[in-house]
Amino acid sequence: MADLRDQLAVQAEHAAGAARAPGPAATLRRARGRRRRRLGGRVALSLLLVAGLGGLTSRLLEGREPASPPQTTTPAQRQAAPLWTAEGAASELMAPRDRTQAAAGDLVVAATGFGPEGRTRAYDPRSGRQRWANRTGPNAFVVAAGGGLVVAAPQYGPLIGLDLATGEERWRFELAEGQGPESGTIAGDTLFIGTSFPSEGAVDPPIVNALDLASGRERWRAVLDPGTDLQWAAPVVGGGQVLVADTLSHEGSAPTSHLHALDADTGRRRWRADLHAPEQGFFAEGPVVSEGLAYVAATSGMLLAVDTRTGREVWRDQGGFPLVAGVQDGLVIALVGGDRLVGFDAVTGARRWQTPVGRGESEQWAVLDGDAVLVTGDGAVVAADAATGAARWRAAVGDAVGQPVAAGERVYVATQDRLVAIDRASGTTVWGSARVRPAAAPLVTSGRIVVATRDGTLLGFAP
Amino acid sequence: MQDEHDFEDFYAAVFDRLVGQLFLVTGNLQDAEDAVQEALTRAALRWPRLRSYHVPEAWVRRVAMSLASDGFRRFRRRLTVVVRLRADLEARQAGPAEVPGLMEALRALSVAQRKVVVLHHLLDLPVEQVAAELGVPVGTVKSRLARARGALAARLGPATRAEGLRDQEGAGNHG
Repeated sequence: MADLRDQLAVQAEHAAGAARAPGPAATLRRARGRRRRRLGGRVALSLLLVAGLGGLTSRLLEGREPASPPQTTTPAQRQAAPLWTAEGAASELMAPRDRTQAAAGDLVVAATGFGPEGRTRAYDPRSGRQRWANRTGPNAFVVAAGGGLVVAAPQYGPLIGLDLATGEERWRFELAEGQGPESGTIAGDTLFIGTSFPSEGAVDPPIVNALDLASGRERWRAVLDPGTDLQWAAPVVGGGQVLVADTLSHEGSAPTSHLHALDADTGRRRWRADLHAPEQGFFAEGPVVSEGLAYVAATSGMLLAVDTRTGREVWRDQGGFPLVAGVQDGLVIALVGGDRLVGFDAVTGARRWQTPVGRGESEQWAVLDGDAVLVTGDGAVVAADAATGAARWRAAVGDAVGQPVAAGERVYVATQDRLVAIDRASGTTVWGSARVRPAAAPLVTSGRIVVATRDGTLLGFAP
Repeated sequence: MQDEHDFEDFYAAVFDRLVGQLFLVTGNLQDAEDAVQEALTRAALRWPRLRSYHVPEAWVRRVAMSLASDGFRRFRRRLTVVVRLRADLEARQAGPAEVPGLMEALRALSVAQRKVVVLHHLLDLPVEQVAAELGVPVGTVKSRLARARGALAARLGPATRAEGLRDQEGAGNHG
C-alpha cells in the first residue's frame, strides 16, 4: 500500500481535478461589492432601493453574477420597491437558511454575524428600525421565540435567553463541549430543546432538555440513543408528550433511527417507534400530529403513521421521499418522491388521489393553505385542491427559496433572485421586487413582508 | 489594474489546489469549493497587502481551513435538501474519484484531526507551523496527529502505521 502522504496527494489531485472555479472575475466583483457596501453606507443604498434601480441596486448589493441564471418567470405586473432596508441584518451567505431570522411578537429577530462579533438583533418590521442588539456570539441562530423571550445560541451553545422587548440577557444555559442545539419549542412556560454532538465520529447520545423559560433552569433531561443525532426539526409538543426524531450520527453508528415520545412533565420515555431508516439523513420538518396519529418522514423514503399513545406503526407508504404538507378532512397530503402530490387516507394510508407536479433543481416545499396545497418546484408555484388534488393554477415565478407564505389575498414567494407576490385566487403575479437574492422564505408580520437577502440585508415590503 | 491581473493569476494558480486540500478536510467537494471561494473573496479585498506576502496562498488556506470548521452544519442542511430530492442526485455535481478506503478513513476522524493530517502529512508542514496555522498549542497538534494516525492505521493498514511512526519520531526534525 502506498504511504499516507501519497494517498493524500492522489486524493487531493482527484478533488482538484473535479473542482469548478467561479473564476477570478466573479470573485473580484464580489469583493468590490463588499468594499462598496462598506463605503456606501445605509442612506445611499436605501435611496437606490427606493428608486427601484434594479440593475444598479443589484450590482451594489451583490457585486457578482448570480450563481445560476434566473429561471424563466412570468413577468411581474409591477415592480415593488422595499419600504425599508436594514443592512448587516442577516447571517452571512453560508449560514443555514432556515435559521436566519424569525418573527417574534411584533419584532423580527435575526442572529447576525459569521465571526466572533456575532449579535442577535431585533427590528421593527414596520420601519426597519433596530430595536436592540445583543452580542450572542458567532454563528448564533434563534432557537425559539415566545413567552416574551428570544432564545438564541451559537453553534455549540450556550443557550441564551433574551428579553424580547429589550434584548437584555435573562439567563444562560451552558452546554457540554461539542454539544450543539437544534431548534426548540416553547410550550407554556417551558422550552423543550434537543441537542446533539454533531462532530464527525462522535457517538455521544443526543439530549432533550426541558428548561424553565423564565429562568433557564433545567426541569429535566432525557438522554436518547448513542450513535444518533436529533433531526433539525423542533420538538412537537402535545398531549402531554414531546416527540423528537433522530437519525444516525454517521454510517453504521446505530442500527436504525427512531421517533421518541417523552413525557412532557418528567422527560421519561413513553415509547419509541422504529423509523426503519438505517442511514443518515436530516429533515427540517418534524412529525405532523393529527387525531392521535403522528405522520413522520423517514430517511429511507417511508412515510409512517404512528399511534401517538403507544408508538405502534399503523401504516406506511414506501412510494418515495415524503414531505408532509398537512392533514385535512381525513387526508394526509404529501409531496412524494419530489414529483407528485398525494392525498393519503389518514387512517389507512390508502392513496385517494395523486397529482404530478414538476420537479425543481432547488428545494421543494408543500404547505397547506386553507383548502389548497401550495407546492414549489420546477420554477413554479402550483396551487392544488386539497380535497381532490386538481391543480388550480401554476405561477412560473422561478425556483423558490424556502416555503411559500400565504397571507391575506396573496401568496409570497422568495425565489432565487426576487420576492414575488401572487394573487391567492388566480395565481396571477401581482408584483415582484427588483433583483435581490433572498436567503430564506419571507416573513409576514405587522403588515409587512420581510425578506433576508444573501448579502446580509433585510428588506421590508408593503403587502 | 495590475493588482487585478496579479490576483487573476494567483486565483488561477491556487483554486484547484486548495480545493483538493480542503476536500480532504471537508469530505465534500461543494463545501471545499465554498470555503476556498469565500477565502479568495476575502483575499481579493486585501490583495494590495496580501500580494506582498511571501506565500499569500498560505493566508488563503488558513482562512479556508477556518471556514471549514463551521462546515459540518451547513453540510447537514444540504443533506436535508438532497434527501428530499434524492432522485436528482445523479444530476448534481459529480464528486471526485476516491482513493479506495482513504476518504472513509478520513471521514471517521474529527475535522480538527483531518486538518492536522493535511497540513502535516500532505503539505509537509512541521508540527510547530501546523500549530501556528491552526492557532493551537504544539502539544495539541501532536496529540491530534497521534490519534489521527492511530485511527487511520486501524482502517488503512500497517503500512500507514509504520509511516505514521516514522513521522512521529521525525516530527522534531521538521522545525
